[in-house]
Amino acid sequence: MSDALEELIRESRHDLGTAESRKVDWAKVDEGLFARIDEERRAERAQLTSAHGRRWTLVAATLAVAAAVALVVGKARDSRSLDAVQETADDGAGSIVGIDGAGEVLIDGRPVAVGAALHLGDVVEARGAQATIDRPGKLTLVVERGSKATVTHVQGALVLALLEGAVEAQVVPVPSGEAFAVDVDRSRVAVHGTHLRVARAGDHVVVDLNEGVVSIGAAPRIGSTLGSLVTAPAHMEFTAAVPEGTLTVSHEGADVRAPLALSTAQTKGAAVAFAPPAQPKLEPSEPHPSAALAAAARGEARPAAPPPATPAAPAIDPDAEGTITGTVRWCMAERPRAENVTVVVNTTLRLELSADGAVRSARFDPPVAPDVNACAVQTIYKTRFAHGGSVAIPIDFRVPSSAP
Amino acid sequence: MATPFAGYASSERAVREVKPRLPDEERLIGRAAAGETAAFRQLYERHRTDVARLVYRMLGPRSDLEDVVQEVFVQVYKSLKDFRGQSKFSTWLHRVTVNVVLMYRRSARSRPVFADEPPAEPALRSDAIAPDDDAERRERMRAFSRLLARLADKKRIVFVLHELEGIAPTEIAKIVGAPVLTVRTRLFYARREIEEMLAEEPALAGMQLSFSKPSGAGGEP
Repeated sequence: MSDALEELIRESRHDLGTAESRKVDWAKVDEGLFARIDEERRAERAQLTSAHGRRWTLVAATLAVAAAVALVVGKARDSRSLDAVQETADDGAGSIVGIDGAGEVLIDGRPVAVGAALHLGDVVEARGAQATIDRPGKLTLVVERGSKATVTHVQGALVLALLEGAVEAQVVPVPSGEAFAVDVDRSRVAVHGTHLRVARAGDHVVVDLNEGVVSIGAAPRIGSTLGSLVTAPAHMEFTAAVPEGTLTVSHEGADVRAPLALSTAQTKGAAVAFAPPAQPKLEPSEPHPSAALAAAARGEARPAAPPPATPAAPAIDPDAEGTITGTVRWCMAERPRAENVTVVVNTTLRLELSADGAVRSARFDPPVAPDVNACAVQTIYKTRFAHGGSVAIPIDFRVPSSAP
Repeated sequence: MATPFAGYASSERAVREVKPRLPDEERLIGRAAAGETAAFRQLYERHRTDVARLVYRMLGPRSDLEDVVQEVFVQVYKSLKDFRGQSKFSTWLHRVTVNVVLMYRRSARSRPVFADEPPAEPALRSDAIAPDDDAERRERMRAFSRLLARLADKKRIVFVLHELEGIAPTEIAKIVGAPVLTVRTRLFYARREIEEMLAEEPALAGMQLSFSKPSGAGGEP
């Protein structure tokens, strides 16, 4: 390169476009940009609502056909499919049913009152007050004082991105898949039905699980979370950026934070299609969460959680590995698939057992399909081994094609 | 015959002033990706001047610089949820900017030009020139902009990214989605074309002459 060009480049690196970029009319750009962003958000919401409408129509038609088939075959169906349909029909994230404390609650920066609805993309911020959000029949959620979260998904499962502080939720179990999830940066705490609290302080995440099972791993773009499955009671801590490598779990009851009483009339009455693993069931000690929170706001002591009833320990299964393998196989065989497809499964289930043989955590390596994972987890956590420690169960089988 | 990479090593001395990544940037990106408008605004305010300068360098002086910058950040907003942190945010932002610039170039080419339309390359606004600016230097920048505008898009982009923004070819390869070898080839030909065009610009031809004077021939040190 010639000296002239080198000199020209050196000058240009400093001068070319520098003055012009500083003289851009940023007020004009700001105005146009944020108007466009508002437009984008409105369009996104409208698209979601119309997609739900279309899905609802399609599902209704499918149901009609399915009902006809069921009549012909004379086969009774349970209510699981209907529950699943009803889940997809809701496009809102819920509404605020309680604001407790002297401060205010904001949605997208604007103060709101009890009754305000929460939608996809909304940022809910509890400034000096706690917000209780209810998604009827699905969950009750408290956004604690000084916390902030964004609604990032509302179809079926509600997903919040926790930006600051903590949220606590009582979630009604769903027949399959995930009912609720909290994202902290790129990690996800996903639940099927549980009582949990997720808090963050910078990148450090603390999860207290009082009931049920959670899955902790990297937030997937779509579908279920393939991460470590942890059963209650548990106190977990991890770094948001690398949940897999940093997760620590304590099942000591003393380490687990006492839950708020969050069960509502809606959650109590909801139909639950499967029984979650035997866990201490939280009974409501207050008629409504806002009452409990109001008490907390008045400076009264946090409502004492009822001591978790000690679940009856399952009997030791002399063929625990066989039971689990059989369940995974059954779950895989039950998946809908084309008649001419043969399924081959090669994975290893890695279990951590407590001293009494109870399963403390479970992980498929490599992961299996999320619905198989969700199906098998119920049995895995109910199975008791005759020993403690770590177990690796190789799971290799074929589900042959059902085509003639 | 010159090989495509002759003199390349020396040109890689062009090292940009690397902006230290602010410690909270990753969190800010995560919050903006989660839909928090305030976080997106902070991210935008942090990077908008750099984006405007890059757009100017790639498109030259034009009246719709603000529109292009706005479009870049609309695209950033729409795509941020897909940014998984696998590349540096600055690399990703450059990629979005390059794509928007190319889109504008394509749409400008397909736009009919009317006889009484003002020229595509308006003169610099007089208010953009500080009173103490050196007139010759300004004229050189204007002439250099004209040269850059004559390069094909692909060559101009790699030239601007490497020589003016100081980005390494490996990173440019990620930005433009081409192999590193292709980036280096484009860079070589871009430099060669600019060298050839220097003589055609009076404001730059003088510069070339002054550098070609043999040392010891009475020139200033």
